[in-house]
Amino acid sequence: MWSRPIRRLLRPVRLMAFTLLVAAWPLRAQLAPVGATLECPATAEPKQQPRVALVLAGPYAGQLSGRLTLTFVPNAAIPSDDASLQFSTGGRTAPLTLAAGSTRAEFSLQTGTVAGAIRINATLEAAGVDVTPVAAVACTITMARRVPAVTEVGIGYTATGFNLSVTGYSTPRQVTEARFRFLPRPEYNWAPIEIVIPAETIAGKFSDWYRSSASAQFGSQFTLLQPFRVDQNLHTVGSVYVSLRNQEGLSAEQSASFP
Amino acid sequence: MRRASSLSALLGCLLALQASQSQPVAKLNIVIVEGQGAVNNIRQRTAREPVVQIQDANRRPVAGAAVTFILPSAGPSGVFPNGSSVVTTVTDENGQAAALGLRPNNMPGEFQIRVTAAYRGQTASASISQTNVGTPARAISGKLITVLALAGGAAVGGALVAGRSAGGAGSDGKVARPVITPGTPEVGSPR
Repeated sequence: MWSRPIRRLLRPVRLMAFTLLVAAWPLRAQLAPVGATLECPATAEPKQQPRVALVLAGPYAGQLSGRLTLTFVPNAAIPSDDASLQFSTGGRTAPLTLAAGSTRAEFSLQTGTVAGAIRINATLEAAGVDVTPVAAVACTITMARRVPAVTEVGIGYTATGFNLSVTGYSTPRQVTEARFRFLPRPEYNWAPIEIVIPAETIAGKFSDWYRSSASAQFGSQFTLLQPFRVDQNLHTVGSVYVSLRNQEGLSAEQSASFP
Repeated sequence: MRRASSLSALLGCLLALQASQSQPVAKLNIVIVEGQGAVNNIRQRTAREPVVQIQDANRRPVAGAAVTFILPSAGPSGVFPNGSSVVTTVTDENGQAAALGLRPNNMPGEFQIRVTAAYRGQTASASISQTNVGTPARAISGKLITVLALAGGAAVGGALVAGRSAGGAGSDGKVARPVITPGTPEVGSPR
């Protein structure tokens, strides 16, 4: 009734099992960028805003996302992290997005006041897949130890003379000497009076501050409160010039006029 | 009876003492005990520490008087341990006060240490003459660098004043030099 070929098709079918292997790694290889680098200045000064750029070697077909992460290794006489050091957007991580076809994204960060090495790393994702190149995408900014900086000098009269409040920072987190030079008001004529507070007196005070837990949030910033007793002719003091010293040398002078 | 009289005598003494303490001091005298005419060795960085006694009009020692020693800010001079050219101290129960730790600077020559004393509204002043001799040591220690820097700063200061006087702007200005003494510094969070 059935022709021979048809009967051959109607024979009982033998069932056989097969395993289909699908490798995942070629997918990641397909999504990996050709290459990416982080560009940043080799050095930076305290309280600056250096720029950091993520640069792709070539345009990428899809959108890239990821994040930059900032770490800090202090190089100070009394080491400490510096909470002021962070990305301009706040915090020590910054999200990044690169539109399809674009090859550059820029960021800025806020340096602190402690000497040390600032390292920035980048991670990249495409469609939720990590496509960070095998070679680390990173750069390092070095903040060198510098002489102290005096940013402000305040004067307050007291019952026995006056107090000077000296605000500043010292990137090695160390101050070894304070120098005060007093000049007369214009209507008076006496030689400048120079007073040096030596290391034996002042270095320990700064060390105590820099070792305190309270100082960590301020990096190397401080306010030095120096009282002075004046036994006579206080009214003739017109101005004061203040400078501070650390192992790197003497700071520039900052002046204030007596009210 | 005897006990009552001795108590009365003690009370009298106490009242007399109280009266003497509350009475203003008529006049102060400064007696130079040590340091007058001293010769200081620059090379050895040693100086004769000046010692004075403050006396009242009756030549009795005055305890608790404020005594200030002032070194010249330029030329032959020295420095006190606080790094300053001025130091203030208080007389002891013998009425004596000393400028401890005085070190000469590296400039040879004679100089005057001005001494002022103040007690209950009364003041007195005197001068102590000393002389620096010798030449600075070749090996300059760190502490001596501080002294030299101070002397150098003072010299610059003198030049500034001289320049101002030469310019005429402040040549007729009053001197009225203040006596400034640093206290103990404190360091804390930035303001």
